[in-house]
Amino acid sequence: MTDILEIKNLSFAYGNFRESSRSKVLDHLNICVGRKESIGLVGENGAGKSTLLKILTGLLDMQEGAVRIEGLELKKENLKKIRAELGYVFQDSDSQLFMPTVYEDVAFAPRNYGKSGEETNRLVLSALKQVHMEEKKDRQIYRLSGGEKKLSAIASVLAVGAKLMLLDEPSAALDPKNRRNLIRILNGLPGAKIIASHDLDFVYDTCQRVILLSGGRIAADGDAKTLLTDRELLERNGLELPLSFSRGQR
Amino acid sequence: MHMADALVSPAVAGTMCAVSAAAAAYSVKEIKAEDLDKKVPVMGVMGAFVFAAQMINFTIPGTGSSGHLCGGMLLSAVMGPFAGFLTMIAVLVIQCLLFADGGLLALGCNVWNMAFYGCFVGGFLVWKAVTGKKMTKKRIAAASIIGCMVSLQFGAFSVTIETLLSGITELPFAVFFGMMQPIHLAIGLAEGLITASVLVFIYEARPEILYGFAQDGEKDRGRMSRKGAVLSLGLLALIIGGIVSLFASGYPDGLEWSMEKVAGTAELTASGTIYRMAEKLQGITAVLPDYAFKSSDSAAGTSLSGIAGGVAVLTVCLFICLLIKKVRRREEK
Amino acid sequence: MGRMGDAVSELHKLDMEAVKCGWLQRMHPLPKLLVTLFFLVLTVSFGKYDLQGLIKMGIYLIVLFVLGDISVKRLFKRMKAVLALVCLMGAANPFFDRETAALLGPVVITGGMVSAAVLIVKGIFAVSAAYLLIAVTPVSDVCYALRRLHVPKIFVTVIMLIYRYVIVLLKEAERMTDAYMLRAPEQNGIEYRVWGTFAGQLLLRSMDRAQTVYDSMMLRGYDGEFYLREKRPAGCTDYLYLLLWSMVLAAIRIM
Repeated sequence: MTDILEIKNLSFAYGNFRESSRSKVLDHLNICVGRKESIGLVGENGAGKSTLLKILTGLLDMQEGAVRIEGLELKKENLKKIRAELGYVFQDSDSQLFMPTVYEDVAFAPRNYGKSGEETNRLVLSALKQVHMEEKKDRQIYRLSGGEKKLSAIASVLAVGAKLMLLDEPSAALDPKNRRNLIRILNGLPGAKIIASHDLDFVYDTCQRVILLSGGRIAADGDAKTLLTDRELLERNGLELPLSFSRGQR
Repeated sequence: MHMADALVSPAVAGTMCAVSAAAAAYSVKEIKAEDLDKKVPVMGVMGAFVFAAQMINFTIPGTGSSGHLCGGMLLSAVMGPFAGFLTMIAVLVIQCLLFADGGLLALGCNVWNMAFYGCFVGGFLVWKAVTGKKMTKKRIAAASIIGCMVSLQFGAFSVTIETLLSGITELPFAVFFGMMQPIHLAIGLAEGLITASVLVFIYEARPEILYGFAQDGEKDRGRMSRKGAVLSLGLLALIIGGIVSLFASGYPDGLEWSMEKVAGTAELTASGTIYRMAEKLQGITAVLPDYAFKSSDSAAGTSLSGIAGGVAVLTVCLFICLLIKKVRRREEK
Repeated sequence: MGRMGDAVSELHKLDMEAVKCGWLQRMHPLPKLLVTLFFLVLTVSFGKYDLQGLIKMGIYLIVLFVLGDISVKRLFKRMKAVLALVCLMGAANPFFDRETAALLGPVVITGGMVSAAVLIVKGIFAVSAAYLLIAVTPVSDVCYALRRLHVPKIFVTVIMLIYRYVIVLLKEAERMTDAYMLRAPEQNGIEYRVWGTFAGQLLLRSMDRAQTVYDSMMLRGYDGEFYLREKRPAGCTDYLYLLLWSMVLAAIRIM
């Protein structure tokens, strides 16, 4: 089986790429992601995490390099097919969930991909079940808590059967209980995940592999347990040990 | 100002709904030619923005009172008149449904008085005329202030006409007109100033989102400029002409889509009374002696016993309903 | 809590009411919308002195309020603005129209008084009817009914999006106002020097949000089409409701 995501020599700069003498936001990245891998994408502000995710979803245009998702090359013609394989969970759930109710929102993607009413219903219910939100399906979005909004957002990308999930700061603004719940649910999902986050404890609990970005380059790529306990490496790249380690709880 | 349902007659409500719907249909057609899918989310979120921003109190210096910004003008300046107009209609629908501002029947009037003039007269004609050649801070401010004042004057005038044509108030035209226009001149100035400062801020922060702004100083988006201007002007002239002639005919009853005719009831009894009243009214409205409005019904049809009977019917109805409810509750237990 | 907070809590309460499980709430939205419109047209069509006819229209309101278990208390709150406007308009009538309409002992009831009363009753009835509709029909259902009436899709979509983001932006505006007031305790509004920045910031943030919403739509296969959930088709009860009320209301109007 091939990898679900292959990134080769990916570079990117805002503004005009070719003329740009400015430092690149992404600089010759090479990443492969297996089908069941959970990858933590860490790095200080401005390291290029969000830019990378946006390129993968096609929200930012490719400039240099090659990206293959599920065997399809990332370019305009393939975008609709690729987006069916991808699920992007925005940091701001309120912007992501634009329909009035949870059900309507989760059903948005299946309907756009031409699924019948019955099929849509089945997909929606199963997606909601995976995040334990089936009882709140008819709730108005604005009446959900932050954690419930995040789960609905995840369900909304699961509904088309996304094989690769990209999550941007999923644990931001969640209370401890919702955060723990989110960890449990993410760990229960099949498929590959890339989680961009500053919350290293969260990454430690959800990912086996960590990619550390610094100044648009890969500073380290390897086992989560090793990387996230390497104080010197983290501090050199503007990060700190996960709280639970610095306090000696693990 | 939002017209309430109670202030309009079916004829006026119907006419205004029809003209507003025509303008909306034209806008839908026009906007489909632009990049529609990209506009929809902007329209939705900006509509919500106008809603929220209109609740912000801006203190007006030296008066102690507060003003609000002008939605139609602002939306058009950001999204263009067609998207702005449709968004304003949606805002008005939500305001009337959820907050009882304006009514469902009066929606056509409100769309016309606020959204149409705000978006097409203020947000398009004035905006284009003042900022079209060159966009500067001063021009933007001038366009906003003139646009708001002009569109509010039009709006206020329409409110006056619609109310009088509906025949629900005894206020003579001159008095009503004399009240509405100056008040709205002041409101228009305040709204204009607020809208101007917002648009100037946008111009300094992110000019590219302003309608008609082109980075190299040239005009692009020529798509709708001439054709759209001519069409909307023509439409405007037609409508105003229609309203004015209706008004000048001084005989709105001719147009009254009256239920009496449909239902065949004869309430048109005391015609003598009407004439007497009309004469009396003409005495008061000396400024416009020939234009008097009077509904066809008369006060003589009212009898206290009739009203008392109506109240009695309602009371009986209330008791029956309460009884049914009680029985149902008991059954549920 | 300021005006924005009030608006948010009002929306919350309306919503709670609309998702209850009464018979009115379960009814198909289309007949509810049509009956409401019919009621409104008939109500405003009453002549300016026809208080006795108009008042009987109240039957519709009483039946729905009592049998639909709808809170009357909140209705009064919504009534305030409209009543003020209607009273203002009606206030002139007694002065200009002194024709005697009836005698109540020594008290002369003039035509102006009657027409002012008609105006006020119309105002009350119209607001009540609109409230009755929205108290038992969620906005998304109203949108669905509008689609069934062939209102253009783009328009219905925009209504739905506005409804979705009104609360988000109201809360944002409220936070901004609170932050402002905490640092300017002597003022009761936004000072003119920061008018532009204050509302402009909110506008720019809204534009950014619109971009994210658009991205989110694109990522989920949006291509200009917006699909609404198919409601169950209107059944016998729904048609019966429409037919019954049309007949009753028309009868009241003609009688």
